[in-house]
Amino acid sequence: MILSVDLAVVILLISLAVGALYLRDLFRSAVLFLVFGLMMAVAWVRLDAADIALAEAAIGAGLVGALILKAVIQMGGDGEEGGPR
Amino acid sequence: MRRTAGWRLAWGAVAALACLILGLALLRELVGLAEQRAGLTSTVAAALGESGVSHPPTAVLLNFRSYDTWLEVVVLLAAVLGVLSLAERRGLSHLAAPQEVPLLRRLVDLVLPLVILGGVFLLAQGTGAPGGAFQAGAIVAAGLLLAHLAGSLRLDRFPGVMVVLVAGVVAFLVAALATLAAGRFLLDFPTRASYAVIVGIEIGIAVSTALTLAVLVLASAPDADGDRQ
Repeated sequence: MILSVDLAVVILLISLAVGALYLRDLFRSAVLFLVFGLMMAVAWVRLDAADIALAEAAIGAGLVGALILKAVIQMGGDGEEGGPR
Repeated sequence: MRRTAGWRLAWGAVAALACLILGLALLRELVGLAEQRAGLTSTVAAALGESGVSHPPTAVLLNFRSYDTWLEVVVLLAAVLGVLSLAERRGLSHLAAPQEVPLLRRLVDLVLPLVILGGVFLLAQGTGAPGGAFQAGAIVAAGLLLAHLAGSLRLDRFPGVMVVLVAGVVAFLVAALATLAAGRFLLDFPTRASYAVIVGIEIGIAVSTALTLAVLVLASAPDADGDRQ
């Protein structure tokens, strides 16, 4: 049971990373990166590293995600709808 | 064209092969690592009694290796100073223009105390359980950002922003000078006082981290916010 959860987290992590790297739409890439950070926090919890999980969720996903989203929106004018390009 | 396509294919094959070899080698090393995983865990556990705190990561970060943490705080300060100096043209007084939405503002007013309470909780339990200054600061930073963007708190009208930004570095500096003045090594806290010193430094770090992260997000876009409604 718990193994299948771990496997699901790993598969999600890899596919989110690939998606964040290769999506055409930078805005969606940024959102995927945010979700990637949250899944990474789950992975840290599963590895028994709650401190790192907290830091990852707060800074890796929250702060860096906000900064990247802001950069994307600035670069492409309006990032809310279709994307910057 | 055909030639470049062929080159690409060849390069792709070479890169894939290199990745495969590197991956296999790393995997082999990783399997070997499991046998020697102890690392410094037992050393830290043995010295935990002298650190003044009961949570090993906190003991390492704020006592055994506090010099590293000090420099991390300096890095954060340097980052925010860099962003602020780039935004200097409009100054701190032109941080992102808040939007006035009454419902949003009321909601944020309700949520903000809870967010701050959560941050304080993380800070308070950081000496004995997962938590700590940076995490607490990040959560309070999120609250400050919400409040600023909803218009219920203007960060740019906050007095003494610079004083708060340097609080973490200054807390470390005071502790360092105190240990030197007492004839000890740099940042070598006496066991009796170390709990109080660590909590003091953590409060400084948390407060300055909160404002630093919020200012980083707000001030990093001097041009885009003026024209966005």
